[in-house]
Amino acid sequence: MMQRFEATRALTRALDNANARARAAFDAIPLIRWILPLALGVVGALSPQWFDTRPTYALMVLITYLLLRTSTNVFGLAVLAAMLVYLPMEMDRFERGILFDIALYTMLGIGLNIVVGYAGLLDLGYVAFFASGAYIFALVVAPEAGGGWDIGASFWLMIPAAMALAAALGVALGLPVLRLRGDYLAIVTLGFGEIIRLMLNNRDDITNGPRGVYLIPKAHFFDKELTGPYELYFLVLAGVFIAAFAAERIRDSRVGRAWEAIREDEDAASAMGVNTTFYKLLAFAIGAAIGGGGGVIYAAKQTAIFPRDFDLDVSINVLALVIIGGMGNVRGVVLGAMLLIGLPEVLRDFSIEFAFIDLANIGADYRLVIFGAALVAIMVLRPEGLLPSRRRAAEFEQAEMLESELAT
Amino acid sequence: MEQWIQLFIDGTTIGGVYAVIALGYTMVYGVLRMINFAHGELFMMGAFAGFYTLDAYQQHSGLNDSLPVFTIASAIVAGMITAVVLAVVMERIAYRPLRHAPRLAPLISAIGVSIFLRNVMLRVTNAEAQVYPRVFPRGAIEWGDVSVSYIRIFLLVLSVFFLVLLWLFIERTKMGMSIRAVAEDRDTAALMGVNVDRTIVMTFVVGAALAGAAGAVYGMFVTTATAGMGFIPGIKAFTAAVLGGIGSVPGAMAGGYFLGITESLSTKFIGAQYKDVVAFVLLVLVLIFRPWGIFGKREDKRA
Amino acid sequence: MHGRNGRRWLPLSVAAALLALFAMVAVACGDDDDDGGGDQTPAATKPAGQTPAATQPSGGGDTITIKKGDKIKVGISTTLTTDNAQLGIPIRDGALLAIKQKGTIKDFEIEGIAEDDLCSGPGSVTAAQKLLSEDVVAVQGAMCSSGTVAALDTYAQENVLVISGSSTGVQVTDPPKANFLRTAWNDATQGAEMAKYACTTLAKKNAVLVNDQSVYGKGLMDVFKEAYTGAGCTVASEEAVTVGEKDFSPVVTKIKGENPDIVVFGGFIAEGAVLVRQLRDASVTADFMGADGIADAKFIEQAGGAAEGAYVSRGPTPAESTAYDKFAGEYEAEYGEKAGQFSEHAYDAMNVILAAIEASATVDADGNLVIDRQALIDAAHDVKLPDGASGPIEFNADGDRVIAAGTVNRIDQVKDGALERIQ
Repeated sequence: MMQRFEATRALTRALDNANARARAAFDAIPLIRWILPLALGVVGALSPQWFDTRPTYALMVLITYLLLRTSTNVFGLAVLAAMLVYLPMEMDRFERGILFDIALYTMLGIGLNIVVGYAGLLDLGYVAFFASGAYIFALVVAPEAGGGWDIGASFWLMIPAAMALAAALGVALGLPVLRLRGDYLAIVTLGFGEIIRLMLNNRDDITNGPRGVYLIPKAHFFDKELTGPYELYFLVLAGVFIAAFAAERIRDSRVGRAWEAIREDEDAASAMGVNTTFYKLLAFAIGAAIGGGGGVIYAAKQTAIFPRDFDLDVSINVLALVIIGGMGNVRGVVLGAMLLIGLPEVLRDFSIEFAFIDLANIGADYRLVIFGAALVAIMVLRPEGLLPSRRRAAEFEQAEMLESELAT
Repeated sequence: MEQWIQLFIDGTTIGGVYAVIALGYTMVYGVLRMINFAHGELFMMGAFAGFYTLDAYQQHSGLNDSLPVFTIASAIVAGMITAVVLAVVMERIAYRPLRHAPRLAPLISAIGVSIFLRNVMLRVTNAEAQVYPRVFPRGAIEWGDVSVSYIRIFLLVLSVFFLVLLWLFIERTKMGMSIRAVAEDRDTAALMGVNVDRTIVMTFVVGAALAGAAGAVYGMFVTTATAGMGFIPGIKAFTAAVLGGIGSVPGAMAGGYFLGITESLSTKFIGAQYKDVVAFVLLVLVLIFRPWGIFGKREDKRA
Repeated sequence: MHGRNGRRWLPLSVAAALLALFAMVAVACGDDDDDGGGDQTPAATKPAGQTPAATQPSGGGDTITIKKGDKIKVGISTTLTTDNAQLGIPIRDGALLAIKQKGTIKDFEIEGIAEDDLCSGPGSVTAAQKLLSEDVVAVQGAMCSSGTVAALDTYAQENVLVISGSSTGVQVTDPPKANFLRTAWNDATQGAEMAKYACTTLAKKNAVLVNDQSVYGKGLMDVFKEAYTGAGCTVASEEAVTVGEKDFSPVVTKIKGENPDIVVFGGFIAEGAVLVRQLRDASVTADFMGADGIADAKFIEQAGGAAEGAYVSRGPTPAESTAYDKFAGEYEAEYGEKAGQFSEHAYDAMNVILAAIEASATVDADGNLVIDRQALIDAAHDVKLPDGASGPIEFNADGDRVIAAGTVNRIDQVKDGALERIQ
């Protein structure tokens, strides 16, 4: 046990050093940090026609990457926030739709990151919480003609209610699987996700079955109707910031340290007096609540939801974006969502046409082929994810060092 | 009673397919501790290779009628070769660079491979189901209301044959011993002179050969091949592998049959739309009482 | 790392506060620029000072101006990836054939833009957003009922005319939507006609219903069951198959145990073909019946001979008509492949769109084509195509097809490996 403490202390020192070096390097290149985003903002503001889906998207990803990678101060995040608020004003409906999806999946990613990244519980059924949030909201507010229960309730009231319900579901699903570890947990959570979807599909006396729930009324912000992705985007963005803020605060608190201990060595954590049951369930509950909240906003935006919307692909997408971004790290989630959710849609317009090569439809036809290859490429080139938390990256390095020391 | 037997046979057939696919999952997991999500797509590619082989015979010769044994065998071999080549390539490109990466990175890489293969085949076939020529002799063994077609018998026997073959390979050959050694402890195995890279590739090769062959035979059984056909059996086989205890070869077999029979019986007694619910609920129940699967070993530290 | 605790909350909370501020400003003033990205393409002009269509879906007053020399863009929302593309690609091609045959409207060329809608709610909404950002005049689609139900809200915000050739679900026009029409037959019509035929004409009194757990399959079987039991016949059991699976042996065994007179299937070719083949392999001799979801040569081909004798309902059609054969011939000449089961409906839907554009568009003094969105929708409601490839086309107030006088619900039977009309 003493050795473990020694190792932790050495790790913390190494981390602080790495941190300081990274910041020093960053401070030395103000170009990236200040001038580029500002210049881009000015250009964008002056010429709205200049915006076109693909270049805008590419630049947005690039800027986000740079800002997230290098800045920890108010200014950087403010620039990011300004960009995320300003850009959609210049966008058309399709681009706004993509941006909404990116923001929504960022929110889901932050929720799943708490379960997978912080507490180390591999969850392949995160869609269960997203689905339950969406369905409980839709069923309560939709009229009978739309397959709902016609109870009627405020959108704003339903958000906390659905979050609470999803959290309760998280605990309920978490309880039986407390003893499971690693991939066993993965397959059981996958099963739970599928069970929820199948029940939504099969119990058509309650949920209207495959016909779905539709005619979901629009949400209102005071007198303003939140009509589509554009208006709701800001709500999701607010949700992202609240979730990100909460997640980071919890990570750095006593609870976060308990999760970390469980993630690294559950038996040791338990021996040291960490109530592993409580903290694991807490991780499920918080992650589920964020997913449930996302579900409500999703249902409000779609105005019609179907059991099929909540299949395994959603869970896989959310998990993939968390890992691609860099696990255990809220910043990584933002970038992961931009790539994973944005890329397949932006590729719709992709075409190659020059000389005798005419691949005008390559984007429409091959976008998922390209997307699959891109997933592999990203993982092979950046196995820790695009924006690994510095602490995590150092841990892996050290683990490998130890491994090679032992091996030689 | 006769319906019971029929359902049991139905379940055993599909269960055998799950079991053969699950072996690939479980072996790769054993040596690499990674879930190869693209394994279901190897099954799909095997089915396509089988289709293209039989279709070529159908178009260019009369061999499908005059010498079906030969064409069926070559279709199965084609399925195996295709899947093996793909598996070796994917291991080299998508998995080997990630050997020392965080453990979820190869999972995402595998998902990428899976999406890639599925959509390539979708474009190749223009999304149309490819219909197998009817090569296998029709007909069935009838016993009262129980009827078992020849192709079903073939599928049943073949899956058992593959399982036995694999068991012999793992337990009785030198390569099998290396695979077990690497699964036990990669570093120690390396110290003992086992060529780890070669062993890992061999694991992929064996798993892929099984999946490819299963794909080709399954294709003949259901007589169509589609780009999306690997997804559901892949997930089911993964479930079966975990149910049996992932990393355990007998576990994967037991899990596969158990899952297939459960699905079949619950179709009758609870309803087809609930069969997956029943399967997953049983999975949860089994894992609650045996968190490391039916045949799995307790591995606390690996979690 | 715990030392960073104190500093961490500050940037985030300040950023959140800033964000909230920005968001309020944006929500307050953002929507007077609803079409920011649309400036490069034919402008969607709005009369100055008018509230955008977004806040009053059926408001009207919105016009599209297509500059001289530009093309009239028409959207096609269909499924181009996943196994459902098997249905979606012939739909796209049917619609594109109509555009190609029409060529020009008032000397303006027409361009069809196909977007992948994944046969799902979220996918169809994305496709809708994409098509709207391309400034399409009208849209043929979405392919699946769930997609149409979800995407219609998005289309309604711009008051865009949508005509689907394949969304058959009852719920799509219940309640009716002002901007939506369909050339596909409502499942309520189709399901009742099938039930009548099975129970009365064929006198098959005992049925097993199988659905594919989709909006279409389940919806159709629900309608069928009601009409079938209402006519005095009995449903022995209701079964389900999972889309994407290829072995339905347990379901087949169960059906065999029920010993029905007829097995009725709600779903598409992939599952239908597998089901009928496995039924015959298990020597179940009951009749097999399906609807437009399996009305395709591919169904017969994939069933490998087992489809022989199966009944396929195809909706009310005139007793004598060469319109479909003419279309099928042209389709095959164009693409070298046989038309799919919804190709003719998509073709008709696109022809209605084109006829409505022709009827409502005007050329202004500068030679630009001006289309009023509401006028276009009104014109589409009034379009009549007596020679539609899928039968005479005329719409009722709900946007559903009117069953024309002199038509009977067409039933085909598979004879010698081909669909042959028997009613």
